[in-house]
Amino acid sequence: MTETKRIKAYGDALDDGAVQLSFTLPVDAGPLARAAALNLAVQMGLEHAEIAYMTPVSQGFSFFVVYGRCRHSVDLSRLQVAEAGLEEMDFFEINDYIKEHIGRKINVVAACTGTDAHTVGIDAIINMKGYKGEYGLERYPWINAWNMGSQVPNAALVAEAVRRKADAILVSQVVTQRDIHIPNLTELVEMLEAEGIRHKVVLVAGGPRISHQLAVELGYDAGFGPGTTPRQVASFIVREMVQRKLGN
Amino acid sequence: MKELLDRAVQYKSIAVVGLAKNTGKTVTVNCLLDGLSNRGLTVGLTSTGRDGEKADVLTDLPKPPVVLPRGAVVATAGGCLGQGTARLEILASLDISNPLGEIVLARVREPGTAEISGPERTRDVQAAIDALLDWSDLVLIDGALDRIAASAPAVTEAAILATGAVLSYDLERVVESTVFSARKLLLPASVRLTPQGAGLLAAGRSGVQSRDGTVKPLPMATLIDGPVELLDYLDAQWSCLLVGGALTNELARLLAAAAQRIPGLEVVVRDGTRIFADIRQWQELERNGVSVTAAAPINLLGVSVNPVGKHGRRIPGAALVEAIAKMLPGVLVVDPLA
Ligand code: B12
Repeated sequence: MTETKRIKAYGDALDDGAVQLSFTLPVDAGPLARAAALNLAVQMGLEHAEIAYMTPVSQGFSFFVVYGRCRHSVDLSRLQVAEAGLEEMDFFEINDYIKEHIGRKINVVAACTGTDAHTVGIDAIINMKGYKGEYGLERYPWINAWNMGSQVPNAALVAEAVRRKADAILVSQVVTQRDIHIPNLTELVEMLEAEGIRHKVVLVAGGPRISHQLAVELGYDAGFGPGTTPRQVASFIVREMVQRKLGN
Repeated sequence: MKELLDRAVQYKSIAVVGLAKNTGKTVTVNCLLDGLSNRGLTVGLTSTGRDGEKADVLTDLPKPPVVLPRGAVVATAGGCLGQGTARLEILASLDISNPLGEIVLARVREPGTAEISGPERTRDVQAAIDALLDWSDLVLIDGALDRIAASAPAVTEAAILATGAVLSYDLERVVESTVFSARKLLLPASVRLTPQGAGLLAAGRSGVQSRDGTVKPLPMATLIDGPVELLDYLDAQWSCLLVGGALTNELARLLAAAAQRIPGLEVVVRDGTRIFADIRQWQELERNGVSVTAAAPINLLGVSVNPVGKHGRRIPGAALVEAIAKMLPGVLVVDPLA
């Protein structure tokens, strides 16, 4: 039996449950809007709820910051968390690892797919200059990296991956309005299955609202969220390749 | 449900795949588990991805749990054992893993709920089915999300398609997308395809077949993005295209535009799961006289319907069942909870 470890939100004192919440209501700022915001906070279960801030944001809309106490707690010992970020290696260790365990350069094809036009995230991982003081995958002597840019149709990404004999496919999804990323991401998995190459590649998704758990649920090998650095991704790819014996 | 069970018992492996999340796949699987074990069969179960967990990772909405009858056998990641009320006895461990751990085979000692997290990749799903069949009479595969690859004839003998109000509250639209998806799965077998052509397709390669049945493999690594050089290999003589991979909008567009020059153009895919062209591109192919067929047809046992949408709102279940059934003669359409 694992020991339970319950925690609550922290404000000034342990277990006070203090939380801060912000939201917008489609009603002009004023006494009515304030009452509506408070009522909503109470319905959410906040105790001692108070409106700390109210401001008009445009005609017919008002923005609120609410303080309150949340009586709920979480038991850390009962949580199951899926994480891709095993042990990270650094630039030199990764190149050595490829040289030693795979013995040839590995091929990585990357794109931001569908209608999504955000390139900065995938560039951070792939481009030479990299991100947060780390080199991107293009700079790795033992990695051939191709960055196809944004708004790449899934079919074009798969075609490129087949032609480049990709060992890993990296997909970025930044726009998640109306869950548009979900069918786009599953379509890619299904196309790779249809082409008979899903089991031959390491398939990775990333973006500010992508979690490892979500990616795995969608049929990816890993998912990377905000603040990801190139070597976290490279470490995962090479370890997965070796574990699944994809290097030959 | 009785009729669906009558059909189900004739197969060794059945994939339950959906048009989307929350189309009632798990409910359908539960009804099958219950009904088949009541008929004295030992049922095996696995899923592509996670199933039966308490809340949906996307929406956090509560999900129905998988309910396992006594004696059933499951293939699931070790990390999921002990997440439900069913008591499981581990039989063997497979040489496959998913991100939640190594996949093990376990038998249900005490019936109850469980979380099933099976292999992610179709290649591994095949291996899990083979292993499950050593311990059971019939294997069910619960497909994740809108992924249908597990219903390919190379993987499972038969399929059930789940659909419902989660697609739209507009009945017409649910019917339209369900019928289109079902028709793709029901793609007829090609009558022209030669054994040599079938062999090429089974290996996942593409080629062209001539009127006299000669088969020539294509040098392109893939046709998925509709490469224009493909047209150099097609004419009135070589009018049968064998597509070893996906038939996408890109490829369909290229073929529809070139169809005039290639009388009698037939496109043979491996099976209905390889079609990614949308309704519009599909109709465009039809309008241009291109026929699309499959090397291996899918045994679609039936369509299951969930009339309840995302926020608990319903569309009329009986009307939905009737409308789909009318468009798909010969296909059994059921609302398992009706
Ligand atoms: C810059 C920007 C733009 C630029 C993009 C320019 C370009 N070339 O990329 C422009 C102006 C074009 C733009 C357009 C739009 N944008 Co914009 N944009 C942003 C902004 C301000 C910054 C994004 C960014 O560059 N982040 C920096 C990078 C480094 O972070 P990142 O993307 O999270 O990437 C990291 C990780 O997530 C991860 N990662 C990302 N991808 C991958 C992939 C893999 C494989 C891996 C391993 C890791 C990984 O690693 C990266 C490094 O750590 C954000 C708001 C914000 N502050 O975040 C909005 C934002 C993303 N945009 C948004 C929207 C809505 C749009 C538009 C739809 C607006 C409109 N109505 O037209 C259009 C989109 C058009 C389209 N078709 O996609 C919304 C998205 C909302 C949502 N949840 O869907 C945001 C959040 C703004 C907002 N709050 O509304 N946008």
